Amino acid sequence: MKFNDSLVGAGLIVFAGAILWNAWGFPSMPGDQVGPALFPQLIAAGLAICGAIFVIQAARRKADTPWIELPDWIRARRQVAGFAAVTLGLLAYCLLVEALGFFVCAPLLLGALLAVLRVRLWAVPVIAIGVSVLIHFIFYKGLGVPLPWGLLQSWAW
Amino acid sequence: MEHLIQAFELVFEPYVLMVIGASALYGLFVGAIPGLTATMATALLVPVTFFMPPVPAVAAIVTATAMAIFSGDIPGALLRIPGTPASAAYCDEAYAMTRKGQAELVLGAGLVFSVIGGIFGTIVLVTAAPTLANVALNFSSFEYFWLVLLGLTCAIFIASNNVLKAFVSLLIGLLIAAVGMENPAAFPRFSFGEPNLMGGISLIPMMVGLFAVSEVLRYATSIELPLHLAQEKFGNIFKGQWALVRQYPVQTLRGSALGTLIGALPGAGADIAAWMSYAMSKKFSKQPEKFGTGHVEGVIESGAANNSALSGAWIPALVFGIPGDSITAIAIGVLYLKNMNPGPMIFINDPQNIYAVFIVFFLANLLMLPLGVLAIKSFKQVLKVPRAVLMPVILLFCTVGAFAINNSPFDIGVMLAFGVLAFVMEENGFPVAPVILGAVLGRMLEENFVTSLIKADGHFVAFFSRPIAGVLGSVTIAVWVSPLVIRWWRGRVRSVTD
Repeated sequence: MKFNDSLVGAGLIVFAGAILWNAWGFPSMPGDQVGPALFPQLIAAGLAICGAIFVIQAARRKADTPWIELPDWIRARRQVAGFAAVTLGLLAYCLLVEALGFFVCAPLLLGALLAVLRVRLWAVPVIAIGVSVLIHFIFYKGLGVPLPWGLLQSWAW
Repeated sequence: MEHLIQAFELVFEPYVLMVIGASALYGLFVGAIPGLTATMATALLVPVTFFMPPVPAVAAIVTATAMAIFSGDIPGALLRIPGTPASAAYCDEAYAMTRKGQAELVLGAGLVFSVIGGIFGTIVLVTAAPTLANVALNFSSFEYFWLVLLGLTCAIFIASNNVLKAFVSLLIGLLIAAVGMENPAAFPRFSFGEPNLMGGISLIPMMVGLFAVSEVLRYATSIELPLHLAQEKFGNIFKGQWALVRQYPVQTLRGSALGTLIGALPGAGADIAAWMSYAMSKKFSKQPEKFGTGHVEGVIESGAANNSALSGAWIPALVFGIPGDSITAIAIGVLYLKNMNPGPMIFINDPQNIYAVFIVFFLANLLMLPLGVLAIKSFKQVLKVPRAVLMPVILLFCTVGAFAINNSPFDIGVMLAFGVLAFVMEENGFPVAPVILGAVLGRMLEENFVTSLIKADGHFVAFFSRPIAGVLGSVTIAVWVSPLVIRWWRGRVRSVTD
């Protein structure tokens, strides 16, 4: 997704404003002239200046590029599904893993991605479950990472 | 001497050697697969190295990256697709040589001159780092402030063709570093009451997101084209290499030296070193017309440069804690987790660890010779690994790895957010490397800035009053002002000639 330079610039200025507004509430240090707000304020100033330059440059060029240019892949079903599977899949994994457990979420995430990327259908469950077990073994047994059990708590080893 | 013996003992123990061997194979594999970069190899290694003692952890990163930068040459020569961005500069040239039936020669040159460049860079690292560390012992907050600022400045002025966009990337990185209460005032900034953000954004899930999840996203949204190998069977890789070494000594040396230097500059790593060396090689060549038609000279010079850049990047990383490229930025994150904080003190407190790192560098580069041949010969098999299976597996590995650092699902969200950020940024032409530099160096910059401000007590001249600080400060300001001066000067010349 490509954003037009004026939009990028405006976005940066708004973002800088939000930082400044948030940093306004930071306390000042008694006895010191520099508080925790100074550094974020400098960053915000920098972002605002960059944003302004973007807007000015875009105005000078006078090219009418669209506000948002959609990428070519947006029209291809597999690519859109790929993007959605990675982002939504990860989001769901992150929200649900503690409740459902690694052995529910990991094969589902893997399986969804493999299916979207057109791996042969019979291979999808085999790889999804096999790789999940392997990674669980490496991290849980080998490295001692407490991967959540969730629903399968009573089966924990 | 005693420390050196200790260092050898640290490296030559079965566990560390096993780690080196395994990371070497891993690095060769990742580098050889188009779409997987050396930086991604490092990011994926981090969750595993997290559980290792410092020396094997660093050894794994050093070995894997050195191997990946070399093996990126293989698909470049055989498929005309660079395996890592560091091989992109001479990919067409190498492929043209393969088409002329010189696949063995160009792959051999890639291997041999990678090793030479790597060892050259390592020798510079071994000699320069302790000397610089001695100087750095006397540094106060003023010197460190300017040094970090100069490093970040280099990152945006040298490492990018769009200074404005690189600057925005850098500011985003600095802002990331500002989150949480790890600031001189210990006030929780931008944490919005979220307990997971109190300690700041965890660097490792962020890096895994920036460099690995973004690649998976890019793969998922790309159209995969069938790959055609230009040649499948190879004869003796080393045939004719000695003749090349004797024919192009100046090019080898120049590439290695430039590579080390570029590597040592923050923000610019192996890929930029290769591009600059290739251009330099063409400029000084006696036969510049042959470049692009399958001529080995540029491959030699830039092939040496990208591997020497890798070692060069560790000089500022170890001595000042300022990473020379994205790979060392990740490595510094690992060192902090291991309580092996980089900086001049490490050379005094843990010299055996530093020597061990040096030994690993030599070992990794020498190991590249036999393993490199193996990688070339088995490349056909490597290509058979379907990327449609590999990418989802990598994603699950990232997810578990990000979780493992703090055992927190929140970090998976952090990883996802930064993966999407990097993906969108790259689609819009914003470089990602400055983000990571800003995030790693932000706290150091702020701490030294605030300390210096308090010491200066309102007198800005104090920032320049110590000799080294004065020089560093003037250079930094000169780099910032130079584009304006050049523009003004060009304008004047134009108005005079009109």
